[in-house]
Parts: sequence; C-alpha cells; structure tokens
Amino acid sequence: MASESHDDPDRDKWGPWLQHHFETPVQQFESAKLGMWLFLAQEVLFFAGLFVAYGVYRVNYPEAFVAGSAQLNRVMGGINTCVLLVSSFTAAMAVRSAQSDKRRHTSMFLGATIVCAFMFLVIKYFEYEAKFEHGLLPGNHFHPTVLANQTLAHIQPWIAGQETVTALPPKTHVFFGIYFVLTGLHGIHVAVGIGVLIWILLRNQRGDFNKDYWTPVDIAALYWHLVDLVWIYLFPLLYLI
Amino acid sequence: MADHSDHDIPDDGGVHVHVHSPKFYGGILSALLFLTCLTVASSYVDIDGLVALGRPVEGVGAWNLGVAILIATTKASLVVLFFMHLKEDKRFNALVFVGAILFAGVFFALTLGDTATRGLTGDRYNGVTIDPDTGLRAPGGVPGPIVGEVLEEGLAVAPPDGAALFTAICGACHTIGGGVLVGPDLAGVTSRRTEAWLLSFISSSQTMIASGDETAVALFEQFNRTPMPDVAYSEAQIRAVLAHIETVGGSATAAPGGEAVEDIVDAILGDDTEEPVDEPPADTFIEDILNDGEEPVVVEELAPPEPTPDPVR
Repeated sequence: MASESHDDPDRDKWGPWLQHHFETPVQQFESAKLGMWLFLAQEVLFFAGLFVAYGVYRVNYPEAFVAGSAQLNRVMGGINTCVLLVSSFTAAMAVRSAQSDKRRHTSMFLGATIVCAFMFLVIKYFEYEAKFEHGLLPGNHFHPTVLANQTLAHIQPWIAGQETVTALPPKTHVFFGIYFVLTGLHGIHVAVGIGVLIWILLRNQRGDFNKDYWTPVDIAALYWHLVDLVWIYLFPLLYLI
Repeated sequence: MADHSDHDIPDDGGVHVHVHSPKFYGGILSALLFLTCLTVASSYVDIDGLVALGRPVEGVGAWNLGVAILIATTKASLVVLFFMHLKEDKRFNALVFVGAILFAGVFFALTLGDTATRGLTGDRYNGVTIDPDTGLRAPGGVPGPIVGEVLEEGLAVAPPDGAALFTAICGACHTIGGGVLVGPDLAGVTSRRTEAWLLSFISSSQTMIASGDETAVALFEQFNRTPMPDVAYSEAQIRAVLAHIETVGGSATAAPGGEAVEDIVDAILGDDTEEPVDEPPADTFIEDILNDGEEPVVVEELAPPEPTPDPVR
C-alpha cells in the first residue's frame, strides 16, 4: 500500500506538506489532532497535581488561604482573565481565517493573540512585583509587611470576628508557595505559547499554509486554549475564594 | 475530519471542516466575559450566609466555592467545545480529554477524601502514638518525646531529651553561650532566675507580662517587645531543657568561682523551699540583663524627676 501511494499520481495534487508516511490529508490531520489532544490530556494531569496540592493545603490551613487570597489583587486577576479569554477568541479566529484561506487575517489574529499573551505577562509582572514589595514570598522567604490596619472585612465581610488583621495567620507562606508555583508554571506555559505562536505566524507569512493545510495553526491554537483553560480554574481558586 | 451537516462532503481525502462565523465566536467570547464578571461579583456575596439564614461562617464557605467552580466549569466547557472544536471533533479525541479530566477527578477526590477526614474515624488506633492498651510508645517509633505531646499520667515513656527539646523550639530564638539571637543568650539563665519563674515564663511569657511581673516586663521591653510564644512543654520537659542549658552553658557570669557552682548545684537539685537563687539586687538589674556574658554595660541612673507641686485647690 505504501509504495502504491508513493507512486499514486493523486498525491501530487496535494502539496509537499502532505508527508510521505500519510496517505491522505485527512489521515495526517487526524493524527496531528490526536497527538495534540493526548498532549493536552497530559497537561491536564500535570496541573492536576498542583491543584490537588492546593486542595490538600486548603483543607489543612483554611484561614491561611483566606488571608493569603485577600492579599491578591482581584482586579488585576480579573483583567488577566479577560485578556486570556480574548486571546482564546483571537486564536480561534486565526484558525478560522486559516481554514478560510485568508492569509493576512490569519497573521493579524495570530499577532493579536501574541499581543494579548504579552499583556498577560506584563500584568503578571506587576502582580509579582507587588508581592515582592510586601515580602509575600514562598516558604522561608516569607516576610510580610502588609499587616498594619489591613482589613479583610471589605472583601469578605462575613469572616467572623476579623474586622482588622494585625498579623497574617501562621502557614500563610504555604499559600504563597502554592500561588507562585501554580501561576509561575502557568506563566512559563504562556511564554512557551508565545514562542510557538510566533513560529506559526512566521510560517504563515512564509506561505506554508493554504486552504487544504492549516493543521499547525489549529494545533498551536489548541495548546493556547489549554493555557486559557488552566487560568480559568486558577483565577477563582487563588483570587476569589 | 468531516462534519455531516448541510452540504455534501467530497470524498477526496482532503480535510473539510465546518467553518464557524465570526459572530459565533464573538458570541462565545461574550458569554465567557459575562461569566467572568459573574464569578467575580459572586465572590463578594456571602452565599453561605444567604443559604444558611445568616449564620456566620469562618473563612469561605462551601457554597461560594461551589458557585465559583460551577462557573469555571461552564467557561471551560465553552472553550473546549467551541473554541477547541471538540464538539465537532472525532469522538476519540473527546474520550482522551474527558478521560484525563476524570482521572484528575479521581486523584482529587481520593486525596481530599483522605485529608479532609483525618482523625474522624472511631478507630481507637487512629492517630495515636501511645498504644492505648499497654501505654507504651508505638513500637519502632519515636526514640524521644514528641514535641508538644501531652502525656497522660502513668504512661511509660522515655525520659525527656532536653537537648532535642531545646533544638525543637528554643533554638529558633535562643543560643546557649552564642550571644543574643532573637531572645537572650540562655547561658547561666538558671542562676539568674528561679526555677519557678522559668517554668512560668517558658510556659506562657505573655501571661507573666500581663500579670505585671517586673522581670518579665523588663525583658519584654529589652527585647523590642518581641513576644515569646507559649511553649507547650510539660514541667518534666521544661526541667529537662533547663538541665540541658546548664550542661551546655555553665555558670552565670555575674558571680565568679565557687558561688556560681553552688548556685548550679542548687538549681539542679531543686529547691524545696522555693528560695530564689541569688536574685541580683534591683539597682543592677538592667545591667545584668544587658551583660549576658559580654562587656559590662553601666546604665546611668537618671536624676529623679522634680516632684510636681500639689494642684492648688
């Protein structure tokens, strides 16, 4: 069969993008998709470990988690969430443009996705800077300076008897350990995603894609959507509750 | 990948997909942004309080958590089904992804099922370190006392290890002969203070300070009002720590030679009459605290303030 398809004149009607070990574009496309979904499944399990760690320590030190999450800026976190959602939209639109053989639009939407990704990292940088300033660092480096006159009441007014906080609860450094590892690992995924998207953008500019072959755009967008998915869960767990 | 909707799909081996309109994707984005606003807004509302008729809840309750996760899952579903096209994709890809989520769920459920229910069983051996039947420490277990352990009377346990007890808690802030750390250098402390005072101060320094004990208050002021946390050691354990301090730190620096040795002997043997061991006279009090084995510091006494005249009636 394989030698037949090598000589099969029909193969020539597809471009050089149809790799020799695939018989048809559909086969190539479906293989690529399956490969990507398997990778995404691994990513889900990868982050699941950290989410379970979050769960365990939350059960053990609930007051530390409440106090720790009150130190995070919901507005910045909320803006970051919207930035990533918009970037998911532009990524889906990039795939759509590639599917519709609109090369310029594809580049535009990929560019927009990259810009959103950078915005996310910039906002994250400011968030981290605020944490460093206040000494809210993980583990042994936790030396908070946010104590005086801070109230949790305006955020979670129903916390019984805690109108004014004069000291963060013990084990709050555990919350920040988990915060930095989770958001840091997610941030690394965003950075890698930027690299991948830039590569796909360059390939698109080079004219690698056409109406029959836009698989890499689809695959890269799938990775990017997963980065968004992780943040959709990170945001409420770390910032809101 | 082909979708079996409106038009005929040419069977030429090429990839044919249903291309959604920009409006469609825009609609999904709008829904996602709306749900984001919803989840942020709901985090400011005490849903547990509403549900449980205003009962005050410590920390964040289950309903807020539940609503947050529900909204997050809705958003995630929208992204997965429509942005990632899983709805139109081959069933096997969906199986792979959903399978991963299910396994993550098992991981989560079983781990938290353990963590959240620790100590809740009626198993008489659950969480014990002393065998309830024989009163002996669990076989193959800890060689010395467990820090902070409250021992019941009559249980057969090893005598407290003063060095280990010191390292476990005291060593964080005190040295013995190594200078001031966070709290004072404890070398010779058993000659400076009575055993009763030390037992009380170590157990709860803040209680002593609150009750107005002069020495305790002066120490508190001297060390920048850094509170010494209450030490949950039994009397026997504290005595073991003090004995360890004497072994390592030797005699006090205030009195030279034989007098100091006598003081130590008195301290070790314990004083039945609870007589204070050579309490320093009041006017060298501050200097003694400041000394701690280093260059003697002399504190000049301030001239007493002018007596205020009686108010004119």
